[in-house]
Amino acid sequence: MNALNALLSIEDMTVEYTNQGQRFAAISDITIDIAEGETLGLVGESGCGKSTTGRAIIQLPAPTMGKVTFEGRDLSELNHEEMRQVRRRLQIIFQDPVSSLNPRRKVKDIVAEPLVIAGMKDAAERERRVREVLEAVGVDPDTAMDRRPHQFSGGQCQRICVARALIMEPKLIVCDEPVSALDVSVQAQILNLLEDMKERYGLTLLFISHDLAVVKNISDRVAVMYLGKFCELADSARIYEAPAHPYTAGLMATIPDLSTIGADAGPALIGEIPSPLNPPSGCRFRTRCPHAQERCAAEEPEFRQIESGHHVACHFPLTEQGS
Amino acid sequence: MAYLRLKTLHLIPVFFLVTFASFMMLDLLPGDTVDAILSDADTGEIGSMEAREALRKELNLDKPLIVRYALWLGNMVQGDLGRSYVTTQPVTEALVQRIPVSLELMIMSQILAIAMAIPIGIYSGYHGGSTVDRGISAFAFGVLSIPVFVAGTVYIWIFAIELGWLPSSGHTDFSEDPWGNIKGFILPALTLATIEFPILMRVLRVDVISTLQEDYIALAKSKGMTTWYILFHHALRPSSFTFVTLLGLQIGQLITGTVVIETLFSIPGVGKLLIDSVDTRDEIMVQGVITFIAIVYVVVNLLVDLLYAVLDPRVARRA
Amino acid sequence: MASETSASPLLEVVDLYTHFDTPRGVAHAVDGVSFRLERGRTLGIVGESGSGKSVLSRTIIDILAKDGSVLNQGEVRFEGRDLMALPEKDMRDIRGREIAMVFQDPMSSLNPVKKIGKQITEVLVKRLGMPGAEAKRRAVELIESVGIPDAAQQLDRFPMHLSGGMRQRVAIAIALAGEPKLLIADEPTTALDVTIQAQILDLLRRQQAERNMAVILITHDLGIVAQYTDDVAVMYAGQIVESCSTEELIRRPRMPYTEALMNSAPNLADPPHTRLDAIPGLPPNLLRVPRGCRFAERCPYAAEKCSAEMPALTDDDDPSHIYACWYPLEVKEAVSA
Repeated sequence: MNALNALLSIEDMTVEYTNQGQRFAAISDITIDIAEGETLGLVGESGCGKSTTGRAIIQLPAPTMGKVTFEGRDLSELNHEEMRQVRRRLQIIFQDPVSSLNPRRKVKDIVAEPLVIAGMKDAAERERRVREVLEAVGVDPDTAMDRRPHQFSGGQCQRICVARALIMEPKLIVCDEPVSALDVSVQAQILNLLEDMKERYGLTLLFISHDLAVVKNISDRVAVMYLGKFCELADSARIYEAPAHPYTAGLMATIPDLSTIGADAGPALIGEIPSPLNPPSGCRFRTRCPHAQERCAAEEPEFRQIESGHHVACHFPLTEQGS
Repeated sequence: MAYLRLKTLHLIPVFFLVTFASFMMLDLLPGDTVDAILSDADTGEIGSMEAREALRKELNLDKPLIVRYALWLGNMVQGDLGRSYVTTQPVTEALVQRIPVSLELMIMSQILAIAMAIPIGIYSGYHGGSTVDRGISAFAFGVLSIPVFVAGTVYIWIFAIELGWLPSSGHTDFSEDPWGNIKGFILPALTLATIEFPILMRVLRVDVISTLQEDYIALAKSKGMTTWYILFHHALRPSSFTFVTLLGLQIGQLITGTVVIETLFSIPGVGKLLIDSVDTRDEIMVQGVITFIAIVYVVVNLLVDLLYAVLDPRVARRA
Repeated sequence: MASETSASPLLEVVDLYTHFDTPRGVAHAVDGVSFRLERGRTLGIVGESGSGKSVLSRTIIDILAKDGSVLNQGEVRFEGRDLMALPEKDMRDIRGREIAMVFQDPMSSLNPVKKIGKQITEVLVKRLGMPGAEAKRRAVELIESVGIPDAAQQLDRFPMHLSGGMRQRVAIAIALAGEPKLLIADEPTTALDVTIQAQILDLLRRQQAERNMAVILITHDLGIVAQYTDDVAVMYAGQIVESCSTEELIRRPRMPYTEALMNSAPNLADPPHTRLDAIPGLPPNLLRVPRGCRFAERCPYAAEKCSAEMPALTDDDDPSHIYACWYPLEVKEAVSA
């Protein structure tokens, strides 16, 4: 897990919020490295803390405890100006492309904005860069530059968001559910685009989604989150072939796909994700786990490596019996 | 209830600010209270220097503003708002006599305004964009531009002079003649309601239009509920936030209107008391009336805040 | 469709049009749709946003605006009666009692200021004429039957107290209250997590079997269609472009759009970084629909004829499998599993 060439390291990161006077951890004590050039997928149900993780990395808001190291620098120690410099190399794309673009501004101004903020004075050079990056994301600069976001479909807006993120030539892009609001046919376009951009610009991606099939498709490694903690981390092919955590297996079984015509097995996972205000004792998943035993309530399982690169937080991982 | 306590605490500084500001502004008014009290209306004589100084001392008018405010505040907390400079009647007594009259007028006018605004607002919102809706809007804007005394005069002319149904002025005690009392209030209350309901109606209309786009309205339709039921049982409550806020904010306008209307219809309410006291430079009385008005304003807005929590359970939860 | 021969299906939609008169022109939201649905069956209607699937469902239950901006034509025959020709009062009797609906987002489809109990009992009292006390008892039974714990306590709670999944269960209880013969579920799980999605769809399936209710399940997800429906209609730009039994569609799609829809979704069985077959371009603007096949512009197989002339729904030898395409795909096993 502690790869030497880690571009981003998260160590013991905790993010706490206050809800109705009660303090609770949206994510607690997570540790992970993202290697340069890889795509790490982060998957889980709503409320599991995956989006909070993405935002804590770009320090919006900064984590309550723990450390985020990007290109060797501890982000929590940077002052405002230094953080601004780092943000150019650490971009984020959000779920709803239409509302993340200012409806009153023209596309060329939206895409050029990071350059303006960074102090690029040369308007002709700015325009050249905007054109280049719009072309790269598959938006025709001649017709698009002078239009406003509402004149575009959701998919095109997401392309523009990608262009805006790319124009500063970032190292890492946090993609927070970037295709969840899009139709399947457009979703495929954006996923392909992200793959192409990663290749072309040498990007590292943190890809956050609730959709395991999407995450598996785009990621090199996948981390599964549940109630603010990691429950499994492995190569994406491996996690699909041999899920070790019962939650991962359950998630996978609930995805309806074309090969299960009329299958009636009943839902693979019962119940709902518990409130983070009052997480279960021991293993956080035990209230929904089909294999839960006494030990699971008493003792919190450690996030341990069961095979090279395959980590799981479970007392009774599935693969240890299976393989 | 933490929500209530918090809201009440917010209102205390508002109260102090209003009473102090009015104290200061009364002090800045041109003319001298002592002169006004001692001068003889017929001869214009203003009394001897000694008498003037004695009165000034008696009324504490020789002390600095802040001291006078502190003295007044100290007495007020004990329920003593002083005595009228002119009639020497205790201010509280004068208020107690006048308050029920003004409250009756205000409450009646609010009931009328709400009774007009809700059905018309809902109808207009339901038929948003139709010819009828546009007609109602044009009418509302027309009414909005009529000054209150013009509206009152028009009503007097129609209902009192031409038709002779209602009295044009005066006030009857409720205990003497309940029906006569209510009859006397109909025109003044209607006048106040007329100038207030168009805005209420308009904000309700806008909120109804947006509420009707909600999924839960589509669900209510798909349950087979009648349009009438959907509008009043599903759409009205979620649409009434701006409406209720405005009811609170318009209290200021309502009080101004009451002052004009009480004068126009010769109703012995707090508004008339205010005008009469300003005329005679009875500062202590004016201050008493303003204090009362501030209390009404603050209490009504507190009620509005509480009403939010009643209208939408989510508000109480958030606070 | 198995019971194609029965004389009068539960629902038969004939050449239905729903157009919207907008300031920028007439939007062809539903453009000549026909299908039939037998009692107790589940029909999946699948399509992307803007395909007209939601408008279609709202036209069937007749809850679109009545301000003259909606232009309708065609027939919606329910048990032989044309709902389009019914007066509003009679149509109101159909809604909630004969046809009920579950909406996409349970966060917005329940009235936030009304107690859950009231939202269920108002159907029982207003529509079934049940006395108040009996309606309350029945509401508790309904809440229990959709799998919500502590049913009696839930009556006095507000929607904000429940999770999205629980709210959707309440919405289903509301729909079931009138004991409808047809339930229209418009993307009932799109706003929910996958684990909750499976629970809700499973609940719908069980309730349907118990009550012998017909269901129209509207979704954008072919995986859901495959797992939960008997028959399916694929919609594109306001039209049905292919319709047959679900198994037939998954195994032998004929319309290129159906195939494209299947291939563009990432499949868990594929290795990571498998290139997705994205459909290029966008669906046509419904204000200016093309003359020919509406998918032609994005279709990899399109020829000249496709953009010149609109293909009608046809079949080869099997009348239960219809599609609208000049150059249909060869019959092949699309899914090896």
